[in-house]
Amino acid sequence: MNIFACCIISFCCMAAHYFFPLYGYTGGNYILAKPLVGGLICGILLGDVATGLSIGCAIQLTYLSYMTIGGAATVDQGFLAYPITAIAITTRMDAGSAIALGTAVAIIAAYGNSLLRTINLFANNRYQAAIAEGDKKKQDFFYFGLPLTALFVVRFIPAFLMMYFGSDYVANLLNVMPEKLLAGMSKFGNFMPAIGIALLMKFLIRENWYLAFFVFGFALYAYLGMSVLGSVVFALVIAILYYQIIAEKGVKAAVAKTANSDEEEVL
Amino acid sequence: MTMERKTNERLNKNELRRLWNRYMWFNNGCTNFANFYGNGWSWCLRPLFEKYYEKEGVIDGMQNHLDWYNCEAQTASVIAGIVVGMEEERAVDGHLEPEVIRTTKATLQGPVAGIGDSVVQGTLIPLLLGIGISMTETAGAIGPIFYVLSYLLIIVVGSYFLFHQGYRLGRSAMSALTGGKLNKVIEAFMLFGSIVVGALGANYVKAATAVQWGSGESITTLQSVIDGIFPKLLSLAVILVCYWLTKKKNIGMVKLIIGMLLVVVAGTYAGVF
Repeated sequence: MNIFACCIISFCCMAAHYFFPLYGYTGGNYILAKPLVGGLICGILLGDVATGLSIGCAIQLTYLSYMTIGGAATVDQGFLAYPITAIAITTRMDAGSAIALGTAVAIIAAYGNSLLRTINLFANNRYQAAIAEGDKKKQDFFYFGLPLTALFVVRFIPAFLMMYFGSDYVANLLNVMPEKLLAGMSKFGNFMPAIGIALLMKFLIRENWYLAFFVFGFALYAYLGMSVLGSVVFALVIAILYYQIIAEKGVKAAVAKTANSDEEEVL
Repeated sequence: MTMERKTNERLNKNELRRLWNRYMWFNNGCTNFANFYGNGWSWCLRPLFEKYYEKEGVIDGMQNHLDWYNCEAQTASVIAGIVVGMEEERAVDGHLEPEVIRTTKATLQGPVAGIGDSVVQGTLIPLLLGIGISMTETAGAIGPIFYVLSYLLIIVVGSYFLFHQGYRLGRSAMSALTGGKLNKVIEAFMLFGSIVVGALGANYVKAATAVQWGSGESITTLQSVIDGIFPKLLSLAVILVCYWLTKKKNIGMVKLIIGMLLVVVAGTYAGVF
């Protein structure tokens, strides 16, 4: 793999993290770390945008509902978006195999967060000491300089090594795998978006009757062949209608309350 | 402890905007196990302290902002606005106690994180991603670019608004965030999301079975029979099974991935898929 591309992709892996200041963690964790974006960037850098986009989409769908509450991550999305997607593009892996092999890496990478937070305990100490001294340069160094260096070591270096030396290793591995296993992993790629969708449903479907609307959205494609964007229009109209109904209920209840309290006063 | 003030002017528009930018860009430095994101406050407020206090006051001010803190940084722009307003008040008026500011930060981070995580991470991002993914099919690279631009636009505008609301209204800004009206909007948003997620499921889960019977001329595939009843029924069934597994049995993402992988590979060997 082209060393220049490796460097940029490894840098993206480093930046795709809570601790990197790219508009706070908006640019890093919420934008760069998303496999959809990673697919595009890796695709451009490795000269195969189409594959990059298709792998990015497939991985993104499985991780559609990925969220970190309070910064606790079980799987590191940034590693999936960068070294794994890049390796998948160059070894012509399909999305299912990429997730099958990549999830293990992403789980191990998630432990990097704990490592970084522990290293930063030292930086924290020195930072607070620098505040007490009023030394601005030292504050800057321990606020960003040291933590970002640690980030580089824990993310850039492993990502670079994985891509530069790992691609060939993975390509060989794929060559010795039995046909049916590869076919199975590829088919898995067709099934796996269901996981992301199901986890997102767990979050969005507040009441059981929302399920009917879920099936409605499903049927829009199954029977009408409507694209997602078309369904968005339908969904928006229904949501607005629903809001009008529940907002109305609130107003009616408030009006009823004041009417009752008026009566009591008269009596 | 009263410190000498360098000036009694309030923050002007430029300084306010620079503080907002400094917060949004750099609130996540030196994140550690001792105070999580707490250090961000001291560093980001440093220019404010430098405007009002001499060196001792700056040190004192920064040392008031090293408490443990963990929140959703984008929606927490409202907390940033409130804190900036309070620190300005403390500097100009001299009566506000630093403890009040620290307690405000400590009590607000919970509710704001709840709203922020559920609206931003749970709903906004997945839906924008879903739309971006569907655009990728027809418009290629426009898909991810749409996600990046639309998400950035919403966050920048939203955070600017929240920050200035917090600054102007102080703590009463929170009532807009926790009021009944917002809850209703969120409920309707969730219904919107449920429909879109159904559409996403139908578009992208391509479960199919390879089971077939008969031979030669009259091969019938199970898949065609199923399609006759309800197209994509198998995909729907797979999604609903996963939903049941995660909702009732609380099975997490990693286990679902491993489990599904094993089932599909075994099924491929058995000729089912």
